[in-house]
Amino acid sequence: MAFVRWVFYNNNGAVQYVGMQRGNFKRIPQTDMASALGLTNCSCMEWTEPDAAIEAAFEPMDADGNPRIVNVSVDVSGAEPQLVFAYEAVPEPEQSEAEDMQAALALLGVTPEEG
Amino acid sequence: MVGRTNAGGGGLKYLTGTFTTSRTEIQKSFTVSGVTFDPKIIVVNRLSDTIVHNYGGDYLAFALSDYDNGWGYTLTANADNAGSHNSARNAGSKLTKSLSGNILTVTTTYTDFCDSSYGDVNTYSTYQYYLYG
Repeated sequence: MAFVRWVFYNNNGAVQYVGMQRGNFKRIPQTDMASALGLTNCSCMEWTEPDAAIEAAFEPMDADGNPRIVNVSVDVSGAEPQLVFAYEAVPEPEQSEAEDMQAALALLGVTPEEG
Repeated sequence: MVGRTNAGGGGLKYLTGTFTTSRTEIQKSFTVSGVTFDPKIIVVNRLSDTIVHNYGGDYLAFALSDYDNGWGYTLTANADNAGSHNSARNAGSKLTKSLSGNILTVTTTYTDFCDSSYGDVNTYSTYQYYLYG
């Protein structure tokens, strides 16, 4: 089963595209993928075999199963580009406008009727 | 003695992958490379999202398209309430696919992969897709 992970980034290290594929597919040059994505003036970090540490770093949940937001950039200051990960907790969903209205009506002791 | 009949030929083709939507451009499609089969079923599932601006807009949460039977099912999420709140099951919910050489482009015709307003991206998400053929 084939595998590929691509990280396309610009000269400043800002990531332009992150993608992973696993299964029945034919390997194509990273330049062909960049062209298909409409990316220009980009470099690419590519893995053709899964790297357990890299794949774990990209997981949208931590080791304890908690969901997280994964932000990735590339440090281009050194001789070799390095992935830089920053994680954020997934915020609790905000109460919707309908729920706000229901809460306000409940405070007033009003029960809306279906109309 | 047990007989066996082979119908058709070839095994199930399967390809999965992930992509993260653009933070700067409204995204209506995703690209898969090296595709060697014409998918009969495509499933797309949102794994996580980042809400940059909460303007209460919709974006795609889940989509399943069955091309042999000509129907699709779509579930949308709303930035105002990160849980899904709307669904549709009909031919119009089907993801469109375009295979050119070995490059497959899958486009949503129902809800974008991000919420946007006035050309700005309000949400961006990581999705996983599954191709079966």
